Amino acid sequence: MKEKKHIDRLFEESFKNFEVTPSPKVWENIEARLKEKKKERKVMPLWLRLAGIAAMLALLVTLGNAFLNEDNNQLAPLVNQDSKDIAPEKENTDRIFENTEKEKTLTSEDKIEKVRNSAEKNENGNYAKDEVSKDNSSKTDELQKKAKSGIASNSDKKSVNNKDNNSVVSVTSEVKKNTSNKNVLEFSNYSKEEKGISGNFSDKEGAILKTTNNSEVIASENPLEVFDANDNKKSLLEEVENRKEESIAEVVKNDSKRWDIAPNFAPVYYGSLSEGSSIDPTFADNPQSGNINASYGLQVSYVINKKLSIRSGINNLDLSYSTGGIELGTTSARGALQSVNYGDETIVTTALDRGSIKVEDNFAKDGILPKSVAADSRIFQNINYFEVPLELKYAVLDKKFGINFIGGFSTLFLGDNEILVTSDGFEDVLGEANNLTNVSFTTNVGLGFDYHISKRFTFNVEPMFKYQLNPYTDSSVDFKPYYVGVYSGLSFKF
Amino acid sequence: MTLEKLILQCKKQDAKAQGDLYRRYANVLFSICVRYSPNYAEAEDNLQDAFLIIFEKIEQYKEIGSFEGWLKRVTVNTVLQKYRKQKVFKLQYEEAIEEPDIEIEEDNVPLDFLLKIVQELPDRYRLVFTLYVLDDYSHKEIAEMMEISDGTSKSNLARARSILKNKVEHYQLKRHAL
Repeated sequence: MKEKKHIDRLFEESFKNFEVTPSPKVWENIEARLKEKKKERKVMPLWLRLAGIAAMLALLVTLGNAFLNEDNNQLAPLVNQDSKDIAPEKENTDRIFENTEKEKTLTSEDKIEKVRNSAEKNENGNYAKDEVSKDNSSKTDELQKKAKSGIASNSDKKSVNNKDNNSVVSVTSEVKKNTSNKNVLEFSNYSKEEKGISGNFSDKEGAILKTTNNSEVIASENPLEVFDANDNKKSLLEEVENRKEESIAEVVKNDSKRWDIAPNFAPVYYGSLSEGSSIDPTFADNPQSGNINASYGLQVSYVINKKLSIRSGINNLDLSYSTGGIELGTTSARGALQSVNYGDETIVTTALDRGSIKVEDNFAKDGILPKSVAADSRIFQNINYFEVPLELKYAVLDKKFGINFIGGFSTLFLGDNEILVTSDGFEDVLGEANNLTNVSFTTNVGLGFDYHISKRFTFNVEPMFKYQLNPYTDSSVDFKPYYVGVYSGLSFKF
Repeated sequence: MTLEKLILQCKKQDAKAQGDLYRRYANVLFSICVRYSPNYAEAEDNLQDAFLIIFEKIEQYKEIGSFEGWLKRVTVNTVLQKYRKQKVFKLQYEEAIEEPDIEIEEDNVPLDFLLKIVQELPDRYRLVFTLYVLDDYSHKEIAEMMEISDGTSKSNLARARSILKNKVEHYQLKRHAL
């Protein structure tokens, strides 16, 4: 007779060293699935990266275009206004330089010629000073007239010379009034040269002395002229400076209108485009309703041009929705809702489709004890996000009353969230949802209505539709949430 | 490659390391799948699912406790998740069953046969029996893992034992008769 043995022992012993090898097909399948997953994983960031690059490019092109386009005053006031204001000024001064230089060289050449002439004439024994003055004055009408009148009224060489001298001085002083320091310096150089030349000549002949005196007079009067010119130059510089300041001031003025800041508030409605449930797939066909919550925050926008502005900011966003058609039970955490992080609790409240808790002879089937089967049992999901939008606003109508198209995206940073149940007057927070992504994105479209109260204040109302792109870590959740908000605020330009 | 390095590479989703890990543990984990599944085909499906979960969740392995233990737990849970939800146990009132005589004659029963009759058990009986007898889980643990009560676990085990005992005895009778 064989010994009796507990059946458990038989199995325990038999299976002790049990080991089987799976068919190679298994690994092939796993490998294929892993590759698929990698592809999926790669697709998302690539898409996001491309979107990011596209957005950056769009921004750069818009801004670049704005700043490089010189004709557009509004786009780049700093560069354009500066050059616009200064350019004519420069041209003027350039012209003055040219003019004065010409005149100056003419006059100085004249004088040199005059000196030479008189020297030659001196050598030749001719004392035809009037010729000199004629030669000299032929270059300048004024001079000519004065010289002629001088000759006419007085044949004395001295007086001619004096008159000549005076008129030369008056001409040069007139010229100099418009010249800058450089020219004046050049001029005085010329006169020094002249002085030197005439000085050389004067050593030889007494007749030249007068001419030398003439030049000396010019030279001696030069400092005065330099002072004059300096004064002029100062005022010119001052003017340029002033203009610059003015244009800068204008730029600042213009720039001040580019930024605005707007605190805003919006009632937001949370809903889903599909019939899924983020809490449990079995709730997909249950009555669900989005709740109206609030979003508030601060928005900063920058005007790119008359039509377009870009904006960002930060908003506190609360969203919630509730699911009905449920009943509540008590069970172990393992058997409860998979999407809820119950923490350390082992016996917890769970929610099921109405009618799924089965009790036979006071014993719970499936380990779930009924807690509440009241008809008003609902499960709520409350989510808090910090929203950072990046949106472009395009003005369709830009009058006292404005209409705008708004488009862009937001980054949502997950704040607090909770799943709670209410039934028959009691409320029980189950825990946090464990399937929400920490950072998700929305695509935003909307309309903006502005009313310009004053130059600085604008009242806006903006109905916006925002569709969440990746709210859940589990891509199988068939819940496609969106939210609609009517954002209103008072914006302030600064 | 050391185990630590292998795990690290797997955490980086390195394909070669994943292959190494599979080859290292496929047999051990497949044995688990075979014991918990109704047949080889499903066992292979379950092994595949288990490895995919392992590769996905390996990030969560924090080197507390043995790596093999973690792999086994993941595998068992994967299989449990699949079968515990299939409500095929509308058989009897499970709570009422008590089986006093579960002793059988000492005999050499081939492993193939034992495996076959375990696999033939209704899902929940098979799971509870395997968990309790072959993998040393307590009724309390089983109740939690299976989302059933302690009592259900105990009665499921009793039912499983009874069925297995009958089949073994039947087998022995047949063999003696030959």
